Amino acid sequence: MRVEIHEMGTMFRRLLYGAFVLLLPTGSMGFAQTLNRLSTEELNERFGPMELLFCFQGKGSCLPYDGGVLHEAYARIPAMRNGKTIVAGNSSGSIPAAYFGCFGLNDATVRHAEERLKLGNRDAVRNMESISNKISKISRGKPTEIQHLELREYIAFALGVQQWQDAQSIAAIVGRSSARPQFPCLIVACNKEVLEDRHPEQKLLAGRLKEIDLSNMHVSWKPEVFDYYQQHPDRFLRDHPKLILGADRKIGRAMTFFVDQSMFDLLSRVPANERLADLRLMTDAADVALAVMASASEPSYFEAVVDPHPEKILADNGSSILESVRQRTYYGGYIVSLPAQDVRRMLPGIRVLGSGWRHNPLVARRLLKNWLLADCEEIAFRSEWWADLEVNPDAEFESHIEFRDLSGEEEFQFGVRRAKELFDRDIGLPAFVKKPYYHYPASAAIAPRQATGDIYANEEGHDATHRTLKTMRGIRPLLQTSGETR
Amino acid sequence: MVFLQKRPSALIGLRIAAIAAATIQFVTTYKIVFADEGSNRRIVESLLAGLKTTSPSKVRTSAAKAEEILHRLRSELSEQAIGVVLGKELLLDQLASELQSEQPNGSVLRQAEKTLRRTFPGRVQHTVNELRASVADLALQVSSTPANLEDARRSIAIVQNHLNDDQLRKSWESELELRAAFQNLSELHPSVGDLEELRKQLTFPNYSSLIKKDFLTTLASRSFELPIHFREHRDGTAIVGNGKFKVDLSLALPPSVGESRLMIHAVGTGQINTSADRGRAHVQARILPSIHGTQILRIRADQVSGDTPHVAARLNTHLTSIQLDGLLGRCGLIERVAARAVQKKLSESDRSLSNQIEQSVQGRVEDEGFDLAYRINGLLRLGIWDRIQSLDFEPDIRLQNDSEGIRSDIHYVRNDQFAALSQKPEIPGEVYPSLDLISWVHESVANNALDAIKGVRLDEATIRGLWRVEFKLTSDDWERTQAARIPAVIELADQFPLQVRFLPQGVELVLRATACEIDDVVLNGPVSELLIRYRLEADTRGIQIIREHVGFPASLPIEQQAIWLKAIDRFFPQSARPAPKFSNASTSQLLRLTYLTSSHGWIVAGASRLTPSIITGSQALNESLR
Repeated sequence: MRVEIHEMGTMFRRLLYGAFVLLLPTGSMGFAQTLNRLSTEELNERFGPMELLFCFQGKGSCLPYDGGVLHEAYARIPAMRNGKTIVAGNSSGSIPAAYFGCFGLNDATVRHAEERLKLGNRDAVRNMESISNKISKISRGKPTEIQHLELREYIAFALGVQQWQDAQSIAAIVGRSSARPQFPCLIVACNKEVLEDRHPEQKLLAGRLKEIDLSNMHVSWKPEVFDYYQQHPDRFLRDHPKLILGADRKIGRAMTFFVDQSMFDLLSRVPANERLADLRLMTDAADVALAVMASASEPSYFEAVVDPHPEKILADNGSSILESVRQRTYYGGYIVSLPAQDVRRMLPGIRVLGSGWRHNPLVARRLLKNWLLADCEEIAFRSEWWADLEVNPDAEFESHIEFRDLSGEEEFQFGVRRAKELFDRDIGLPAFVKKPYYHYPASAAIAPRQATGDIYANEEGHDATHRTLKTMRGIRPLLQTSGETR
Repeated sequence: MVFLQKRPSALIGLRIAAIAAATIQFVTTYKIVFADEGSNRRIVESLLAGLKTTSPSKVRTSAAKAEEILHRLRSELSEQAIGVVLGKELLLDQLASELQSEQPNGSVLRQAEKTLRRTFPGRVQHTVNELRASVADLALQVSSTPANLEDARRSIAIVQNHLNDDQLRKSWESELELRAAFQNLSELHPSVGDLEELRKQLTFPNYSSLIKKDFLTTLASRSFELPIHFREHRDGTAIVGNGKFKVDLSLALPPSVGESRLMIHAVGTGQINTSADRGRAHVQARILPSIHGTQILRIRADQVSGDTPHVAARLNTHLTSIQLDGLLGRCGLIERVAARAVQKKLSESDRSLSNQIEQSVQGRVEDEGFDLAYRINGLLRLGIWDRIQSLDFEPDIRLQNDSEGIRSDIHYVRNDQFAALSQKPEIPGEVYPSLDLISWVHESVANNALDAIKGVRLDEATIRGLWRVEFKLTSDDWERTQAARIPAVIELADQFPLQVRFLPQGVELVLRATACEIDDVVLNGPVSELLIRYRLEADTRGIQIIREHVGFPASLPIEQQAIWLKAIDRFFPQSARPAPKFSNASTSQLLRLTYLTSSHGWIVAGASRLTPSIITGSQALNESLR
């Protein structure tokens, strides 16, 4: 059933939507598809004024650094203080993104977030990150993953739960939260069943059965493999019990964006064959906690996370995601360094600011590629093309990360200093980028409320609908002038 | 496994490290050891005797045998989806049609044999190896034409000259000639045994390292604390204990050959405050546990393994207070009786407490032991094994413990390659005692491995990553260049794509490329041979490498030279130096490069521990090493 209520007023629509969510059986199919959506007019009203996509880019246990970047950005960018910012996050960056998605950006929430990011206990994650320890365990076939419960302090923070110390499970923390995603928010997680491509007999090597289209992150079987499985359906069942062999080679999208309702409505307007990710709606605290665990559960960090409600995922053409996979499991947000493409294509007027990314060394890059098909560097080239500024760590901080010898306060100050330095000079870009295939606005893009002069690259002779969006522009227009005060 | 060997901190130090005080020495200390003339003569005679033509019928028989194995391999591959992919990658269709042709082509078969060199995990590997050997055999047979045999004799003559004249092997050009002759013989000569014998006579390990015992002891010296919590009910007595336990680890190196054996000793003590409650009786006790444990770990060429640690715990229990509620508590006799009863229960719980301690210590000692073993393994490898194994290399690796520490000697070679043609240089006696870690690397390590990147497309971002992350170098060039640009690409030639030569004061690279893409310019053409020479230099900021020369073929048009130069700038910076290190960490396990020599194909690097006199706080570590 599809509920069409375009003629109703916004308030009534919200109330009806709330009642609908409460009444809907959680196990029903096509949940995401049956939700009422914001009209074009409402989307324009909500997103037209948006000026900034702020991405908390995960860097392992370096959350205090992001806290420092947040501190400086919030102080200097008015769009972060007046509701004109969308937050996104991947990996550990999902934690602050989830928090602001639930509680919004304001003086009190930013202050609280800075404190929690700075002071949170990250010992368990840091110990697990010790490379020699990790390698020794992987080589011996021992698990390196730590319990999700180690994230309880951070998930409690994201969900606004003060009393978390005695909680014996993440579910217990969720039970104490009344948080709901209310502000535009996007969290990245990769789709394990779709991506996983390990060698059947040597789990550290690649199986090479699949291929990925970097233009839209769709994963398919190699032609010869698809032919083989069509002829050997029994073998397919045995090799890939969590997947369903479709009528064509397509397996699914490599990643999922966990989104609030408004972002769900916005990004679902990107044509399905161009959209980079499945959209997974977050409606309550359990969804938000799931999103954080899904994004933080990088390979070798935490066990992958199974989605208990895959029906909340937007599938193409009104079909269910369960027509292509029997289960949806998330395996971390490492896959894309800056999840900006679909957002900027829908909102050409915004700027994109990242809290900084650390590129994987060659060994880790190859290992991840072997396990999960995608070459993160190739994806990073294309995703960071969308950055207007990234507060990438400097060499001194990188060196400290190797030693893992900074306190939360010290790391925070590194973030503040680096952000200040880059904002002052209005620079901060990755060394290398590649132009993505879909580099132009989506057909349903929303025009910015305030005209900006640098939306498009200066390219002549291009079709107006395929004009290349200008990126890597710095964020000077968003920084407050010296006369402005916070 | 290829990707999982840790590159430990000290390795980083050694590989890239430099500080202002580093000593660079350029000395010629290499020497060549000669085999006796009699055995040289025997090898040459045997090689010559082995050169025979093969009859067409024997070729047909061999081709049929290869076809039979190919058929079997295809059948095995068809049992799984990955087999379809492997079959395609191994170009089995092309090989099948070659085997069916009237006169199989030797060079096509040799190419097929090289394609089959890839290593695969799992059950098909055996059949792939079998097919590879069969194809190699067939390639030799079809190549045994009179012309090829004459060619092989010429190669044997070159080998003979080198065996007879040690002076020949001192020049780069004649070394290349000898290596090419051996490669040629590997393709044309049927006797693998003779070729192996020849290799043994002429070559030495091309990578060696020594980690000294003192440093290993420091590296292994670590301690950890374990919290102890237990709670149990024993016949109505509730026993609760909380405390912690500190364990110190140390290392011994028993002599070993063929592998390195590490013996980890664990000694620990702790204190657990315990209370036992039974009815109105409340007893408090202090338990002082102590443990002794050992674990033996083995580092071999292909793996790190270890026994389960043996840990034994002993407990000493001291009563600290006894309390009886009510009037009974005032009677000394009753108090003593009650105390004995509760004490008995406490003693009975000792066994389970010991078990708990032993298990938790055992698990942690095992983790710490393996962690240490992988760190040492990484030091021995200097990260090289992994890179090379990922190119389907299977180096011959020998490890041993001796009175000085752990040594590794490695031949990085394929069947048709030579390792070093000279022995590793000696280190001056006045320097040797101060070094904790020494590595000898011969240029043949790089050249043998780089042979595998034929035809590869190198992109600027990956190479930048190698410079920065793997070699820990930084360059002012990278700060100056425009950010956010599309990575340039160089396509390497199919033969001798990149060769490295260690000169007395630097390194020379010969890059053979067929194409480059830089910004909007794409350059395609015949192979261009480009020469890049780096000079090693020390100044007040430490060691740096400076690109002092880029050479182009005279025939390359000026405009193309300019494009290539631009591309080379992207891949090979004009200068580079070790990236500064910043750390607040303890310094006892940190190393810095203090000795570096380069001479006649060898680079020798020595690292020493940082001493307190060098460290004046975290800032002083800017240019030190982990």
